Amino acid sequence: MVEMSIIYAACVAGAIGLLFLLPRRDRRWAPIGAVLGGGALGAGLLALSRGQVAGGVDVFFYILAFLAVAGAVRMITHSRPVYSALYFILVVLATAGLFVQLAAEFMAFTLIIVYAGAILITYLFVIMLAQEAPDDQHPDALTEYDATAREPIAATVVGFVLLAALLGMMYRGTSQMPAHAVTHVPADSELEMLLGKVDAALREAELIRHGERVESVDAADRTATLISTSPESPRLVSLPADLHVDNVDAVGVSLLSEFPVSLEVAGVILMLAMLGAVVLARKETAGDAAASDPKSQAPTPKPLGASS
Amino acid sequence: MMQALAANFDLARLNLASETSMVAGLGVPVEWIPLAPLLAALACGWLALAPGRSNGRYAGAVCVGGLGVALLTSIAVALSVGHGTAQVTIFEWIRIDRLRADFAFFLDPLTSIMLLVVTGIGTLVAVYACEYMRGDRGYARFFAFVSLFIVAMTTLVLADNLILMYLGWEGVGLCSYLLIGFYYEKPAAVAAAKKAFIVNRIGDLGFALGICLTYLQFGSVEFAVIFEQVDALRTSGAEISTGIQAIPFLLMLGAFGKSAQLPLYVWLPDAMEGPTPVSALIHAATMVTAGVYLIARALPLFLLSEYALPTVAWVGCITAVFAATIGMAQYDIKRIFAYSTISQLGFMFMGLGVLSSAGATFHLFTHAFFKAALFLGCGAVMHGFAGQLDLRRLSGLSRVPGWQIVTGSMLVACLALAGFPLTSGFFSKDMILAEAFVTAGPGYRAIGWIGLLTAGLTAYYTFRVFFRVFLGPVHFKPGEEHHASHADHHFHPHAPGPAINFVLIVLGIGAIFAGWVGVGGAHHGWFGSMIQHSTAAYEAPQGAAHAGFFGNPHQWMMLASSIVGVAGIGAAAYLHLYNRAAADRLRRSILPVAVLAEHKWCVDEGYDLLIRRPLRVIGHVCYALGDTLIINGLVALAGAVPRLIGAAARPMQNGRLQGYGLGMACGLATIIVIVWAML
Amino acid sequence: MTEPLSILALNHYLLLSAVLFVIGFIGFLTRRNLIIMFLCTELMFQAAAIAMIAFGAYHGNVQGQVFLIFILTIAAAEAALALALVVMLHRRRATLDADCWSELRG
Repeated sequence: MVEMSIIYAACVAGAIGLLFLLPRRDRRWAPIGAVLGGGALGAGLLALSRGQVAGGVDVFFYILAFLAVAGAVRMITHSRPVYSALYFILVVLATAGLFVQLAAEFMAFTLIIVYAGAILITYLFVIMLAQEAPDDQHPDALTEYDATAREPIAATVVGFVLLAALLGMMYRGTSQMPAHAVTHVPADSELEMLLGKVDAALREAELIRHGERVESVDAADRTATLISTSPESPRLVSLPADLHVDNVDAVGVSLLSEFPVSLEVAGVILMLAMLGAVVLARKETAGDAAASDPKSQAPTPKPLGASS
Repeated sequence: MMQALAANFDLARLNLASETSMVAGLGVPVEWIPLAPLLAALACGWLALAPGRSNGRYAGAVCVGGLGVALLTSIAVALSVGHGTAQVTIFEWIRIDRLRADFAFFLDPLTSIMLLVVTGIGTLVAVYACEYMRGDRGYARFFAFVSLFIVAMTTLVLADNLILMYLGWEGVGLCSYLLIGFYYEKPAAVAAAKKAFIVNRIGDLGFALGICLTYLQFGSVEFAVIFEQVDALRTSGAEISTGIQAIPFLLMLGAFGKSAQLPLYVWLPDAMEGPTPVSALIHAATMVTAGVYLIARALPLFLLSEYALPTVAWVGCITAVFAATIGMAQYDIKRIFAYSTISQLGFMFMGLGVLSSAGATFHLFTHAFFKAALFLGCGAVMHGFAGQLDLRRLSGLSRVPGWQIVTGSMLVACLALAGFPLTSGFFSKDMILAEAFVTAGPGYRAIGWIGLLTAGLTAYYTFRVFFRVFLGPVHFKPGEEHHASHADHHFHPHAPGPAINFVLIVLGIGAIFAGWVGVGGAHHGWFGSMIQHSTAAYEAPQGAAHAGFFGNPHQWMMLASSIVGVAGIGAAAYLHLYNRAAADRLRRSILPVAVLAEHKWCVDEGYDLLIRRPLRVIGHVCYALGDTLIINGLVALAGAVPRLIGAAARPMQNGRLQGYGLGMACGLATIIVIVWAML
Repeated sequence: MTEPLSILALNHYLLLSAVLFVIGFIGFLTRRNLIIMFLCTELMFQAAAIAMIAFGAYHGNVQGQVFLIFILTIAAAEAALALALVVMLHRRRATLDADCWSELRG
């Protein structure tokens, strides 16, 4: 169980590092925090790999993982909201890169388009809209609630306790799992459902004659059964070697064949969200006091930790 | 050697609980002895507190009446008990399992003598105080306290068990405190009262431990039971355990505290801040002799240990000479007599230590007379000269009209104190000193010589007072109580009145003639025979030790002490009567020594340095560390804990989102850990 | 299709997921700006996404990715509604401080 102690030690070091990095009045200790955090992350990785650093992942994983974690830390520790959003975009990009590593390129692009391109842009709009300075003389100054973190020690401690618990469970659980869930994935098994694709590929390869259409595909043999009105049907044709199911195809097939209802429900949810957003954020109602008197309703934010 | 002497000790003479000489049906109401003064005390107390300004006048008469009743009862008791013993139980007091301490009186000749001294001197002093304390605001309070004191002292003397004796012991300590601090508006008096009580406490601790040890060793605190077992121990010749041997040392500590011996004597000179009748009664005649009485009563116990009585003798001897040297250098006449009391008490302890318990108690008896006379004479001087007690400022009082009786009684008492031939003090001192040379014991001869030297010093300083104050050219200065408004009037000394004169005459007569009761016969007359029949009995070995001395030791001692006494008187006469300037020259020539002696050899300062200051430091440390830090800290902690609990529980309820989030995370972590632990 | 993940590689991805999740969570608890708080919840979503995909790759099928599509859908819906709420709250009190909103106390 030496690895577990390393993991816990790494958690503690990481916690201290993060504490130093969180927004506070005195920013001198931030570099130390960065060093500590980085070291903790590395140690944790080493421990979890049981010393075999290079096993199973290549160098891009480390780069992207580092970018993701660094971006995430910087996102939560930066005092200005716009920068937080931008760092989050960096995290999203890193995550997308990781998805590409895992051969999930469709999800990677979806993530970038939807998250970084839509959701975060919306966030940026709202940040611009809702931003304010504490007083009019210094329009660039930070507001008080941005400048200081709220109960950083309690939050960090609890967070890293949670992390330690999670990692402990994870370590224990994954040590009981087999090294490989499946030894061999039957390749291109979805081709049996992608008749149109096979058809297009065969046409391109000029393996299909006019009047013929694909009736079924046998992925294991990599043959397609063509039928036509001609007397030679059915005819077996071997699929071209470069015909593969890529990720988009796989996801599409799975989505539509196994989760059709969820797809419909997702569409409904999106529509409701749109309606809800419009309802919530429509023009000012009588209950909005800030419209008439901009700062009249804002009570002074109470100091941290004071009795409420 | 002591064991051999103790072996001659014959307990059969005590006749304790033996039917033949037990006084059957004591016809005298013994309980009146403490009861009458108690009633007088209550009456005086009521008079002191009752509304109406003139009620206090009668307190003196009430007190004298109560003490007079006690005196008469004591005489009756003495006559009826005679040489026998009696035991009277007044009421059952403590009966717990084996421990039995009743409010019971044990009457034997020693008790009779002590009762006579206590009640006799008490009554005389009360009569004196009727005139002395007149006009004082606390007149009734004074007599209440004096009556209370007599109650306690008689209980002490009459007690038949150690616990009742301890009750009386503490009672006299309390009354001493109340009376020394009688002028409670004077800071010096208050400090002196506290000092007396605290120093006595140290001795009382020893006494209390002695009682506990006695109970542990003998299973009882009653004298009768204890002495029976002591006798059995001695006759069986068994090895005496260290526990039993320790008992006399503890009791001795109590006696030293109460009777102002080294090192616990420091309270007695300061106790002179009390009114003079108090000094005469308590600190000369009765309370300070309680220690001597204790050792005399418990003499069988002391004989069990080989080192107990020699310790007593040596402490008494050193105290005697030490106090005498201090007394020679003081200027306040009451202080001089206080140191003289300490010195004479040392003589009494010396007497007990050299196995002359008759000598010791006889000296107690005579000392009560002449010392009380001396103190009351000083009181008369103080009363008449507005509080002046410095012998450098008083002179030739014998020639002031109205002071002749005072001068006469003072002369007689001084002669008795100095041991002038044929006075009472002469006989009693001789008894002790002779035994010192005769009895075999560690360094007893040296004790004898030191005692002789002390007798000479005693004579010197006593007559220094007499010659300075009463003889010589007439010249006096009033003391501090002389009001400033009378400064331009010529000061007239206030001559003593009839009550004072009467008491001084009685005491003077006693000082001369009290000695004759202890003379004659092999056992020193009536007095000695009384002692022989009490628990303080001893058996002087016949002839064996006497052979080493030239004939009869007592006759030689009478000669020697006469010479020494007269020499002392002569020296005092030269230095303080005929050639007073010579005294000043002598003082200048030995200046460092003289100054040190005037400062009482700096013993008080030594105690302050060694004991009081470290205790104060410890007190400060305990205050800062224990009290402020630990106890206050604990209390603050008790206050802080609910606040902390509240602060911890507040995020659950204060409406802030992130507090709730934190709680959720904690819960999640807890659940994970529990599941993890259970798997 | 590349070969499925080994358990070792899965551990790496899961560690990353856990770390991102906790970082997001700490950010949620520490920051007082409402918008940043919501951003941190989005970060937690990212972490979950990584975990999903990693497990999918471990098992050699695309179910993880399909699930992620739905997660993304819900995240988008939630983000829209959350931002609408933030805008509304900002209009009420002209501040983005989360500590101001404590009417639900007690």
